[in-house]
Amino acid sequence: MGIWSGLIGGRTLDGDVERVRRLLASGDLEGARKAADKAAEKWPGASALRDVSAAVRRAQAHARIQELTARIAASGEAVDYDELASVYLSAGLREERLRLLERYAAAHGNLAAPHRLLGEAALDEFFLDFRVRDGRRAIDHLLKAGMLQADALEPRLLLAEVYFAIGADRALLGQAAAIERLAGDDDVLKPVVATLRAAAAPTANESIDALLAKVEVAGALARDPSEWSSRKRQGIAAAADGALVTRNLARLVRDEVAEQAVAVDRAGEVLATAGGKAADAAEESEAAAEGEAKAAEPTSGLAGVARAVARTVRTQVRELEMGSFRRCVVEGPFGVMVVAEAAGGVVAARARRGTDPHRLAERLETAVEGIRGRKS
Amino acid sequence: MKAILEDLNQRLGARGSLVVTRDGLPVCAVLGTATPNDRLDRLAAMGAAILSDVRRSLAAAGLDEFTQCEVAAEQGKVVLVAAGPTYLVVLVGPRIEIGPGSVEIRSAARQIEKAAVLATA
Repeated sequence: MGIWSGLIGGRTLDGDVERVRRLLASGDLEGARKAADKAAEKWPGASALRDVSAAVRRAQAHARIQELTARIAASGEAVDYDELASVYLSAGLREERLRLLERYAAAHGNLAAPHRLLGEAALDEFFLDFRVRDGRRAIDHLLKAGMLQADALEPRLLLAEVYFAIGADRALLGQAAAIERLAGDDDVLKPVVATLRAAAAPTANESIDALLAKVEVAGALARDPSEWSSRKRQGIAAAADGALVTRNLARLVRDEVAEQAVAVDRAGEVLATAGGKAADAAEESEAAAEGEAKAAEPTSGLAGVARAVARTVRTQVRELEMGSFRRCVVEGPFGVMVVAEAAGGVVAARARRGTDPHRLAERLETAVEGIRGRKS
Repeated sequence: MKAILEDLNQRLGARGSLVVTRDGLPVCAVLGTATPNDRLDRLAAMGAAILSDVRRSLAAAGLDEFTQCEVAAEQGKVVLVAAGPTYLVVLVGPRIEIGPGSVEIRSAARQIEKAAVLATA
């Protein structure tokens, strides 16, 4: 049996997968990784191999996290914090990374690196859901990093991103001047400085906190920094084009999975709708006829619920430290409404009473995430 | 009301449950050991925020009030169920596969509804 499995083990996909599993179970993570890499060359695209390779990577990351956590507890060296932060980043453990960087900044407050890393991580969080707390934290730590390392360009660029995004023009002009002073002759940065200067209108006074609060309340940035910075636009709009999302949502309605469906970007912008258009169009034309100010906003009830969830519920979920928001199901005499997180934005659908909300949520997420998967 | 919530938490293995008015004011709460008491205000605030925002947007669309709402996150779930003049809010862990349709939650909501009606009568 042993001889046979050894012989077959090198020739079939199942044999290779089994070999990786055995090495993983025995705790030989490096051996398992090598075996998985070798098998991947032989069987590219095999899903069973992909799953076991992912399990090996997770086990390796977990082991490395444990090792580095123990080292930090014992000596608290800055290099260990740096490495653990990058392990968390590659493992997609955002919350853990933020908490670690906070500890890093507290333990090594005199170094610029932890403040820059924490500032950058908080900035990423801010661009996800526009919370004042994250924006303030990002600015505070990036300013501190800039103070501790006066010739560092990165904190200045990150500060310029957030000031540009919230419309803090006075502070933005200050950062533009600093970037010009540090790297004014850099051909890559010259157009950036010109863009910043062109966008900012000089103002006498401005309150950063008020501007951050304005962005959080509106659920939208004053300007999109991805126009000039390397920051990628996040959300459904960046993951898939509107026409594809519309088509997939229309399919849900056609297949009678939902009566109406809508995709809303993280800024609250309605990207695609399907079903229930007649009612909405009538409502909108009525509103327009009455000359109401709300005519600028889509009047779809579903979009309104989706926006309410995107703005309030996601924030509340984070406040309660429940991790990231997944979905919200609302039921009543009107039927079932599902609002689910998808590609950085939210998708929502309304269906008849008695519809299984979990199945509906899965179909909705696939309608958007599936597109993202194909594109990437 | 407290006994109803205690019983519900025990049956479901819930982290905590509370009764809030339609304005989001906490009426009664029982939180488990894993949920510190200082979370009560946050939980009540979350219940109030969901209640007011979802109800407002439903009303704007000309739809009736909701009878139940479930918010699922990575590390937990919050379930809101109408209980007469109040709402029952239940906080459960991520591994508990339970929704607003659960018999335990519906039964507790009915008991709370009765208790609330008696209290206001």
